[in-house]
Amino acid sequence: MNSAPPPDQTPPPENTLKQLEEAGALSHFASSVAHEVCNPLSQIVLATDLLAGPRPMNDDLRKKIVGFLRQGADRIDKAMKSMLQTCSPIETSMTAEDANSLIEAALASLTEAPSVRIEKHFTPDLPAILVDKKHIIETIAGLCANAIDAMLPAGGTLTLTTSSKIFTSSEREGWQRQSWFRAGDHAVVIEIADTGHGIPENKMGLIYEAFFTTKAAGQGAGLGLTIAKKVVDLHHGRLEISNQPEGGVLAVLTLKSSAQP
Amino acid sequence: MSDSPDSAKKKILLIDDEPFITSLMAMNLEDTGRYEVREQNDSLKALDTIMDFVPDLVVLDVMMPDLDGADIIYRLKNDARLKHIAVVFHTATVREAELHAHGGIISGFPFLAKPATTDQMIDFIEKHLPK
Repeated sequence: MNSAPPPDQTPPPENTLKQLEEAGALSHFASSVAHEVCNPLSQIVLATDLLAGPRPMNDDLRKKIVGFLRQGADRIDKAMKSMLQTCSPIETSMTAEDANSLIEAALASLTEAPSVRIEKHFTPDLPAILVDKKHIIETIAGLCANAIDAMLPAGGTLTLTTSSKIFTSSEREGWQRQSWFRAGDHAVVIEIADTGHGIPENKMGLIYEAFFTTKAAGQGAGLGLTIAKKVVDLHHGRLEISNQPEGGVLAVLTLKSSAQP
Repeated sequence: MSDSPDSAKKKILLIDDEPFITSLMAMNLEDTGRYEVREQNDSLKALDTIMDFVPDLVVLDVMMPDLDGADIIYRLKNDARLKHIAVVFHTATVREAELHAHGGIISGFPFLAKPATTDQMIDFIEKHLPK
């Protein structure tokens, strides 16, 4: 006897589901772009209305309005550039690198935050990792910048830890489902921990989504983690972000070492 | 600009996490001489500000950290002291809630899309102010 469901209950074919999923993701992306562009655009429209309106202008007010206009234009510029970067393929040039040196290079690229103390717990003589140096430095710098932002203005401690690991069979199942690691793989682990406000648990599922941010309006386009995830995926690595029980966020970046057994 | 006496001015509360937008909108609306405007950029303080200011109309952003526009509407409409207050949305994006929009209504509340000019905002406010 044929047990096929009636026509109106037949599940859509897999390619249709994929199309629906892609359409949903595209719709979400489009609405996120709209949000990131229309808010500063609104600011520009309202600022020009104010300039054209009846309010008497003095130098201070004029400077303030010009600041609103410039900040709005800068936000749109940044959003569009970030969006193009998100949508563009990432080109990589792989070389064997030392993770500790990459972290030092990433830290050197950041603006100093006097209220944030940096603690380094680096394991010496780590196995080299095969990475695109520029993209991984930018990824580490982005993760550190997020951590520092989460601690400002009060300040706190940014702790950077490196270690090496060999994947064991007990970790194999969990890792293999979502990443490229197999039992026996050698990897380097970079941990970036802060003592900031953490990520609201109900927002944790959104952190890799384009244009999602917990920063104040205008303080971040919400593309940093989207791009970081894309870069780490290209390296067949893994990026895990979680709230720590004692407060703050822990980002764990695991990258395969270049010398595999 | 022709100022109305303060008692005749309509009280408008702007709730949006973008301080530049509320600041500019407040100045433009105040320059008409017809409105008394207050701003709130922290969504967690929105209900307290509504209670304190008792506006004739709330202009509410949709996407905000902590509490979004839908959360605030829900709490406001379930509070006997506040549920009579008129609310409109001012939003930069079309999201799930707005997919059900018909004729400029989100979940039963009117909305105006950003970016809107001051004239569009005034027309919108006047249309939805309680008579």
